[in-house]
Amino acid sequence: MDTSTLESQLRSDNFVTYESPYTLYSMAISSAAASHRRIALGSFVEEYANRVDIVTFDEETLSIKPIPNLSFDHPYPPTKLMFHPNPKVSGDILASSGDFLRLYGVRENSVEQISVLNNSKSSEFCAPLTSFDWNEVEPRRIGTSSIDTTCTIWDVEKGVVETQLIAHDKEVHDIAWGEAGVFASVSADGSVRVFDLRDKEHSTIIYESPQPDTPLLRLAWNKQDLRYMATILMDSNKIVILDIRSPTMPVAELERHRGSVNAIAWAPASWQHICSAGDDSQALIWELPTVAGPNGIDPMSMYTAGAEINQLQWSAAMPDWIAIAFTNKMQLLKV
Amino acid sequence: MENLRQKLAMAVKSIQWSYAIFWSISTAEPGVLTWCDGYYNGDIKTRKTLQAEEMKDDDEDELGFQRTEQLRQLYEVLSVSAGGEREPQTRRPSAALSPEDLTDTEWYFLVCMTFEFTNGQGLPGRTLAKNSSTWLCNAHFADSQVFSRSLLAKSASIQTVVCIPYLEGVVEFGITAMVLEDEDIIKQIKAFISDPATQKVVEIPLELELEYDQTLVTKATHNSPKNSLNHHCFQSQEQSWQFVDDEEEGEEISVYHNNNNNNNNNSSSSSDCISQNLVSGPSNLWTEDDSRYQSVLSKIFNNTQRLILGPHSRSCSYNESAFMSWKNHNGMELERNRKGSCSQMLLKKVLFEVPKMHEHEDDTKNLNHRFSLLSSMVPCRGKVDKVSLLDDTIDYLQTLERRVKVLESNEDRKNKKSQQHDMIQMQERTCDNYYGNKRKACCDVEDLQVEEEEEESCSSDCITVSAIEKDVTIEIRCRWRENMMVQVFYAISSLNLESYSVHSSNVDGILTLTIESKLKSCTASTAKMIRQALQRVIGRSCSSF
Repeated sequence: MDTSTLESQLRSDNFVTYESPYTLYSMAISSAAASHRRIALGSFVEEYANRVDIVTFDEETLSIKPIPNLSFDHPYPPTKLMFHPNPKVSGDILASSGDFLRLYGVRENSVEQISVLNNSKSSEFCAPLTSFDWNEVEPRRIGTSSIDTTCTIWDVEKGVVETQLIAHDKEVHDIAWGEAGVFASVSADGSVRVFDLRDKEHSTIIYESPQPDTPLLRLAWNKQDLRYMATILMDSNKIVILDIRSPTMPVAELERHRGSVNAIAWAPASWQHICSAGDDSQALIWELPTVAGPNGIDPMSMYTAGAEINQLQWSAAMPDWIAIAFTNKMQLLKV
Repeated sequence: MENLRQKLAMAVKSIQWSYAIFWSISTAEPGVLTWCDGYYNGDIKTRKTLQAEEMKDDDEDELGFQRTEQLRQLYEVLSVSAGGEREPQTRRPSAALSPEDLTDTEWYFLVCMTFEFTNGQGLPGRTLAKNSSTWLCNAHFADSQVFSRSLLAKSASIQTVVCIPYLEGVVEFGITAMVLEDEDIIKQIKAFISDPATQKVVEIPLELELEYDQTLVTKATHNSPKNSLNHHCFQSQEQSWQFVDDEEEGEEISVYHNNNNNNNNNSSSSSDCISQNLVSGPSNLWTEDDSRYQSVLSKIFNNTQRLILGPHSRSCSYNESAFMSWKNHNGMELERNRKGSCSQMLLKKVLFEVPKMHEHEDDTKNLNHRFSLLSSMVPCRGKVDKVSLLDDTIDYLQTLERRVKVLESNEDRKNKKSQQHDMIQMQERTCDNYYGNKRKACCDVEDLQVEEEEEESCSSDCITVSAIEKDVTIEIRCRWRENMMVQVFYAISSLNLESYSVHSSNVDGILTLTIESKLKSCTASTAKMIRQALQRVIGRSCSSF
């Protein structure tokens, strides 16, 4: 068993690498039906001039090719990229967050900026956005999270703010939709809160980090089983699994990373698998056990990359492949 | 069998313990104790009645038996789905219970069905070997060699277990409380179960059950194919169980069947495994039990889980995965938790620093906005960089101040003196007055100029150029030398300036010169250029000292 897995590790038909000229951070996999899957890669350069490159992945030949026509400039590094969850045949849409929420129409041979959405009525400047999530059930809705403690819900078809909520006491770091009108967010105030747009006055605190004010950095809501969500803490090797039915007490804490965790993604086709990636260069796939043992939970399988893994995507469009980003490389790993 | 179960039921109810199990010597493998029958008397979470066999609700006895029977059915259903060797058509109909309906103690009881003991092994094995009853307190903390199910017991809070030799086997009673050894209880149990009328009948385990055991033992000696379920307790199973409908199950089981063939090829029979177990000696008992326990559980759990996973997990040839089993590489210990400054570097930059870049940019934009406002207020002379704008602003302010002074003193003079006052005299005085007041401001400008222009060597020299639209006022203070005035005027005229008013004084070799002039064309020189040109003239004078 050992040797066979080792061999498979050495064989190159189970992973593909793409090297970008830039350090990569944000990444998105297109849901558009196409012979070659499109993947958007956002550069991370600490200045104004940044790029978004779009590459295609050919699953037959296991090759990744850039499409120079579809590369475009982006002001500052995008904090997140995401394709339209249900794109029309006529054209795919890519959204990015950063200084503004921007929408780009991705055509066959060109990309054009469709809109720059600014939620501030008083100023031409929008509070910087840390992340956003596109509502799969209601694709006209995008929720953005900002360092000004608010979350903004956009109607992107009309290009207007649907609502803006003061979500937390401190910077909001991530946002994730559960249902059409329910979203959750994590913040530097250390809490995970759930909001229902039908009752904007109230939010429910699902979790608070054990040491007060340990910032929570990212959030992933299990789309296969909405009872579960996962979050990661600053400077922590833990992935905290939450069950919305038992607030404040996590159902599991996954602690086998040997460095801090940078990214998490639930499996698109299974309710109990989650992938995580961290500073220990490892991507771990976990199977949530039905019962938690006294010695904690071991991951099911692991992949070791060449450096700290900064980004992770596991898309329903391509459930057999997990995409990771480290340094200037993007790798697709066969699950 | 019913008779036996009834006796177990009566015994366990009379002492109010949680469960009773009868371990009987297997007919297939002499010397091995396997689960024969039992009665569950512990806590129940959800009671379900099959619609087909409706019961009188008040019939406690019947319900108790029904519960035990349902647990057994559930075990069989789970085992069937776990048993790869089994053809799908032999599957039993769905059980009345599903795993999420069970309490921790019920789980303990159910998992016990998978256990077996050789003579002298485990609590039942040793009881059989020494043929006398064994009383175990703190079962949940017991050493695994004494009580191999201690981990399970811990999860179910089983604390006290008693084994008593009985017929061709051993009866076991357990309770979730701490009960000190009490001969009366043992006597009471014996009184209930040793009914001479049934002594001749020893129930032989169902053929089916034996097969299950074989299946499980066969797998137990191999490492679990998936290492995910390690040391389970039953704390939260009610949350996570899901059953899938039969169609899906059928598909997936056939997949699983294939996967398992490998295992079966490698090991021929369960007896092999047991002999291995014995050979390996007591030191390995724990690991054997542990892995066995794990694999039993992973069989039961994973099969139901696997069904939900769909075709995208391992069912499509696990070997192609870029991921390798975590367990296999767990041995190599890397340095732990590289926390600290470099932890989550990029993520932190994205969340904490990139927003500041925007904010900083906002500040810059705001600043630029103000600069452009300023430049619209201050007369602009071509160059738009911020330093020259600030210079211009300073010059402009000085000019304005001077004009204010002039106007103020004009007002004063108008009020105090006659209208026929000599204009020139007045202006001379004004200049003197101005000089005295402005000295400090001049020095500030001078400081700026020293920083800005390296070639300026004579620190006492001062050139101030201020321009309002086309009116340019030049003030020079420097050491006097011959031809200085000529050179200055030459420079001024070459800068397209037309001077219309000149005041000069020479005190102790310091020349003070104030020139009011007009720019001839708009293409011309900025204040800075004029100043630099004059600087050159005066500089020459400096070098000639």
